[in-house]
Amino acid sequence: MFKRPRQDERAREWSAFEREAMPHLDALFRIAKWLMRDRAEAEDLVQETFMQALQSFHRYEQGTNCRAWLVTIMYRTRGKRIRAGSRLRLVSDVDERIAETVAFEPPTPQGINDEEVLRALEHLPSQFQEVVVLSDVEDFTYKEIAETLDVPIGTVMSRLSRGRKLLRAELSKYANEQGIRGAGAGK
Amino acid sequence: MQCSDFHKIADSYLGDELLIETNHEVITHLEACPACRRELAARRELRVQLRAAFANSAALQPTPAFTNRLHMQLRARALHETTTVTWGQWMAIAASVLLVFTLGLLATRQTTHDTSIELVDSGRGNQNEATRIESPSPDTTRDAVNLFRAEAAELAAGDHRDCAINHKLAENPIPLEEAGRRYDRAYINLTSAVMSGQNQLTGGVQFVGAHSCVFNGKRFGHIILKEGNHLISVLVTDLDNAPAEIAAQSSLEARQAIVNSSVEGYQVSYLATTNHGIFIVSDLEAARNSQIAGILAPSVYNHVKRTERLT
Repeated sequence: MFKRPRQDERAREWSAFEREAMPHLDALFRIAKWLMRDRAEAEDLVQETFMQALQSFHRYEQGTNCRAWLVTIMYRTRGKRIRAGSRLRLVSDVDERIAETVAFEPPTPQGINDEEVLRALEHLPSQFQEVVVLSDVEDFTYKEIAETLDVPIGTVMSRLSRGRKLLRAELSKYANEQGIRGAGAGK
Repeated sequence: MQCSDFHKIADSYLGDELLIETNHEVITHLEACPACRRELAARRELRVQLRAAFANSAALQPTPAFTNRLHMQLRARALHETTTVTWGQWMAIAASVLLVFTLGLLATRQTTHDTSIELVDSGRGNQNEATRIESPSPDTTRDAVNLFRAEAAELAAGDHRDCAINHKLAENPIPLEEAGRRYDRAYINLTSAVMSGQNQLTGGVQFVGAHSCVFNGKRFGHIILKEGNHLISVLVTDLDNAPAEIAAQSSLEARQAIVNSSVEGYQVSYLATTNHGIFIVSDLEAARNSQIAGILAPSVYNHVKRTERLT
């Protein structure tokens, strides 16, 4: 009579979604909070992401990286919001050039606490933060990052390399200010 | 492989992105080059620091209330999605609703005692306004019952304070449905029971979250609502440690009375089914807390009673 899945099919779909997607809620929230900075906006973004994921769950290929799939939806949702909020697109190759000027790789300082690491990461241009978080925190492959951010793999690799250099430079700067010694001589 | 080559691909090596052959070359180089080993360790350390920072930062974690709310919204969307219905189907639905409503009205008239709930005062708070409407019972029985109620109210107020307000329970809350499967069937669909009562509330009472939590060793089904800046907890717990006098109370009126008390600045409205206690706790005015309890209690009471009959 109604054009909709039977109740037992719905229950099965929900069960699969609950099993595959819901365990990634915390990880998605962490990324969202990092991107949006504001808790309410992060909650809003995660909610919309999961609603959309539920709606298009039939497109998700079982056995693939569900978290990467969800993060891709989240980035697209965020992209739409940014575009809806402003027609201007910020193109900043200045930041890329700044990163090029970091010619050396300072040692990773020890004795830096979690908050200081996050603060150092915040100082990076956003396009470097994104790839560093997706790669180093979320353990995404280059291919998954490229698909999530909709950029070529080469761009992912170069941003990652520069982002890590910048992060080490930030941490090293902070460590020098605090008189903390470095880990590993590097060069 | 030279050190400069290694530096170019060190990140890819760490990310396991290299071909097997290149991986072997890197390993061979690392075996012979202490400086590159240190460099690799430094890069690895950076990843470890970043992961730890993200995992440990409280500011980056979702609240249990948000997690529960989203989980419930998704579940509701998944299982009860609205659909497009034709005019003819609408007519059929309208006729069905009318029929069900009529039958429901008849049934309600026959079972009015199931949902009529009176308000009484525990004697711990608001003593001047107390109007006790309980069946007569010996003093000893009354003392035992009152003591039990007082302890139960303290537990409920403590859970409201430590869970809904301060989020500092020793044990993480779990989803209600899971708790329903593992511990107590009364928790299954408890949210729906509260929400059906919540729809009748005026004054902008909003749903915040739902879960099952443990306070001082006591497990609760916990629905959190909000009115303005005030959080309201609807708590359901089994009365497995209740004194025999509670179970011995045969008076239906006494069982269904809502008892109001004040515990550490929180208003607690309490009523009991055969095996469960139901609490409404908030820092609202006593009259408002009691009013909310009066509106929410029937649907929650009937839901809990139904699950008891199934057990």
